[in-house]
Amino acid sequence: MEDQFLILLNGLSFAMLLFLVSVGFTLQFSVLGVLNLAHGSFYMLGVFLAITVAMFMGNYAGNFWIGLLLAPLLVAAFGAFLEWSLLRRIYIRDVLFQYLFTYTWILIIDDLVLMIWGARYSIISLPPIFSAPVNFLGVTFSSYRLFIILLGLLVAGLLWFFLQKTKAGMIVRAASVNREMVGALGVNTPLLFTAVFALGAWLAGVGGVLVAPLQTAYAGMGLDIIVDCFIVVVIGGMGSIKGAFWAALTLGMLRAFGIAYVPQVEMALSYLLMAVILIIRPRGFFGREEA
Amino acid sequence: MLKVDTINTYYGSSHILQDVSLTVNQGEVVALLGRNGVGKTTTMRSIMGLTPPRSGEVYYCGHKINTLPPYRINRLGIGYVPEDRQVFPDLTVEENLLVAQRSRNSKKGEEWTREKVYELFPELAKMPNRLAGRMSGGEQQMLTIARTLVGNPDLLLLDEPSEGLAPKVVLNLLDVLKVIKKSISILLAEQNAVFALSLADRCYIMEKGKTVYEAAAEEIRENKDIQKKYLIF
Amino acid sequence: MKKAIHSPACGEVKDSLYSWGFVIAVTTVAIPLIFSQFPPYYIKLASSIMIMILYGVSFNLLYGYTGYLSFGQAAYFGSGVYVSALILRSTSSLPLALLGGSIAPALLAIVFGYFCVKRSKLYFAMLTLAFAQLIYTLIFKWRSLTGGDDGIVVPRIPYLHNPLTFYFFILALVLVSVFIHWVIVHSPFGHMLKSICQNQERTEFIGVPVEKQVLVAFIIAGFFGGLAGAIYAPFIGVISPKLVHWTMSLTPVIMVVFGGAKHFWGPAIGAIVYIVLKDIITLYTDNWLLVFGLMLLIIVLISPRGVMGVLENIGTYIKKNITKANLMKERIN
Ligand SMILES: Nc1ncnc2c1ncn2[C@@H]1O[C@H](COP(=O)(O)OP(=O)(O)OP(=O)(O)O)[C@@H](O)[C@H]1O
Ligand SMILES: [Mg+2]
Repeated sequence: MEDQFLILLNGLSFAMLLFLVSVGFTLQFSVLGVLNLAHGSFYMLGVFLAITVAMFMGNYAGNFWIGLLLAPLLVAAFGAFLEWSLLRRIYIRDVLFQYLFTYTWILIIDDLVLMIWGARYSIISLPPIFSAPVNFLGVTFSSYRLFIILLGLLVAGLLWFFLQKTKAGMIVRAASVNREMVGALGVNTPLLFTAVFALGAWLAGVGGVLVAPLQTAYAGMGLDIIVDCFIVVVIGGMGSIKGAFWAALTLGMLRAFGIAYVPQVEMALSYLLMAVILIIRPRGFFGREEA
Repeated sequence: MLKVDTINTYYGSSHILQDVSLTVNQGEVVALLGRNGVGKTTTMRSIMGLTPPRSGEVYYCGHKINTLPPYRINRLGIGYVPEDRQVFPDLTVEENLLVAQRSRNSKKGEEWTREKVYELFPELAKMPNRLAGRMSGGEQQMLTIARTLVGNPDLLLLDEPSEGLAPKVVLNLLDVLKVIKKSISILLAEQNAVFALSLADRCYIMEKGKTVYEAAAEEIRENKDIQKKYLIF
Repeated sequence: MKKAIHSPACGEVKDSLYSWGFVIAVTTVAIPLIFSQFPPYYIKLASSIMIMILYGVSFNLLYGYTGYLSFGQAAYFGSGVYVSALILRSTSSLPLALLGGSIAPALLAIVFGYFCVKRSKLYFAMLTLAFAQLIYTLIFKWRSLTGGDDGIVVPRIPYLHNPLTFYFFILALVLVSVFIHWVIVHSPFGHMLKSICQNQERTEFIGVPVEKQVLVAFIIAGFFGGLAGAIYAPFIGVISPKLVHWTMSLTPVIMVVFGGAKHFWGPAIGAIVYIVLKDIITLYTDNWLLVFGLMLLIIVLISPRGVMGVLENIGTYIKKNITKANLMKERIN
């Protein structure tokens, strides 16, 4: 019983990481209407920037926190720059070109990362406060993973508040159903698009920084996470934030229990779930009918 | 205040508007009449910058607006009420209004606030928390107009507001528009000529992407030939 | 909401006009071989060009003709490679390897394709990539069968030991396969694909089961992509998961963007340009991905129809000016 609870907590921490990254992806799509295939590369950028900050700060205990603050902001700024300089030129183009376009970013960003940081695989150390596990509801659990869970829930809560309660959030929701009309009502859509794209990139960056102490960085990690994002949006419904949350939760649990009980086929489980969803509910948990 | 000067607009490679020109003066209600598919909506969209014309110019209060993005055009004071309503279905009535609310300096004191708009549309005031997607067609039409009003435009582009509404609702709408026209100039696209003529001061008749006829509203009300030739009554 | 997006991706597919491109291509590749004093390195380069031509042409059946962009063709190419290698290792029969190496990917394409075509093009792009990643991870992790990262040494084929002989074998195989594509493209089925590309809704409306047609195209592309992989295995000799990696899915995309998706021979020309360019670029830098990424980015940004589109524009520009000049001359005379 205790074991199951531990697995559940592990699954929750997977889920929150996955949610942070995929909600940015789905948000960008819902407002801009463009699939950012390079979203995983932004995440990877977050990981490597966190590593750089950690190296730069040496043994300073606060380096993780500074990385968590700084790296996502840098990623967001980079995203905003790309949207402003390049992406907005192709909104009117055929979707095929839009896919091709963000696809080329994967090559460029991934290779740049390789060039700048090298193929040297590194991992950053956990900040000292997380060095000891905590006793959480009767089980001993990694305090860092608990932190990820709480942070994920916090971001989910803030996002919910932003989207439901603020005027900017309403505009985002309105734009996700009808971009053109929002512009005709006087909303500065170019600015909105840049901001939403930056927000998506920031979320990817946060995910990246959080994962940096858990996993050695490697060149293909962007592609691995983007595939996870795909699976999340297919299961949760394309463009749905609520869907991203529940799908990430489902996948996190599937992964944690899969690793615990059927490690050989764990990887295929998420694909299987996606296949089942595509058969019984093609639009996903909360997807719109069309698209 | 609005001057559309020989614009040509395309969808892809199909040439839709051919040298369309028209003007709307301050305080005027101008109707754009014509059958299905003659290009009324495209004219509206061209003015609004949603499908910018490839050639020709659009001036609004001295500004050249045909190269501006829609949001800039809106902020200059042109409000757009699209055909087929286009409310934001996942947002409540109140939220639909909030998204569009925009105060403009020129209108200090006599602004359309949400309260004032609710006064004009008492049906909406009864359901501020209803999701727009769950409302009837008539209510949605009221909401689209209300939503544009809170943006405080000086010129209103109204695209077929009477389309698909029950006769009683159309009468209601007519009353509302009569109030609105006291303070806002209107360019009104309609197939329903009776409705349009009861509101308009002046009319343009469109045919296959061109404006073919311009006259005062009374003249068209009396001229049976024109009515037969271009309009459906 | 009415959308006024014009789709330039699905213009008329031209092929007669560009057959000359292929003739030139084949001869430039074949002539040096006829004078076979050239070092085997170039013969091998030409062979890999040939294989990539098949890979690219099969991919373009989906992209250029049907308007569906697959980011995961490596799943079919790569499974072709591995199935072929495994068959060769246990039976050393090339025909069997080619057969298995194309049928297995086609079966895979049936299963994956069923899901990929189920919804929109958007889902297609995502799902093809996702499934390819699944196959990659599977091959990478299933060490007992695939050797994992170490790969497999593929036994040589005795009668194809000479690089030149092997080249001609590949040439024949590729020409026959490409010819089959040509027939498919000009069949009623091919016209159906083009009409799906140009206007999917309208095609659906007139009663064409679009999903099914796209699936068939996907299976054909999987089959021939697999065949390209199946012959690649004995050709390259040592195989590794690199051949299933996403960069391998990128290969036909680059070729088609370079050569132009709107010409039957576009990917063939693209294959030549790509292989030669990559050969040159890797001489100078390891960051060929970056270089190709930038090139693709610029091409997509400025010329939606690829390098061939640019050349074509220049061509029509020159032609226009020549006729103009001629007219002027006539007038002057
Ligand atoms: N997105 C589009 N792509 C291509 N053609 C279009 C598009 N929208 C409209 N058209 C064409 O443009 C022409 C003018 O259409 P428009 O909608 O402006 O007419 P309308 O006068 O508003 O008609 P209605 O009374 O039906 O609203 C029509 O022939 C229509 O088929
Ligand atoms: Mg219309």
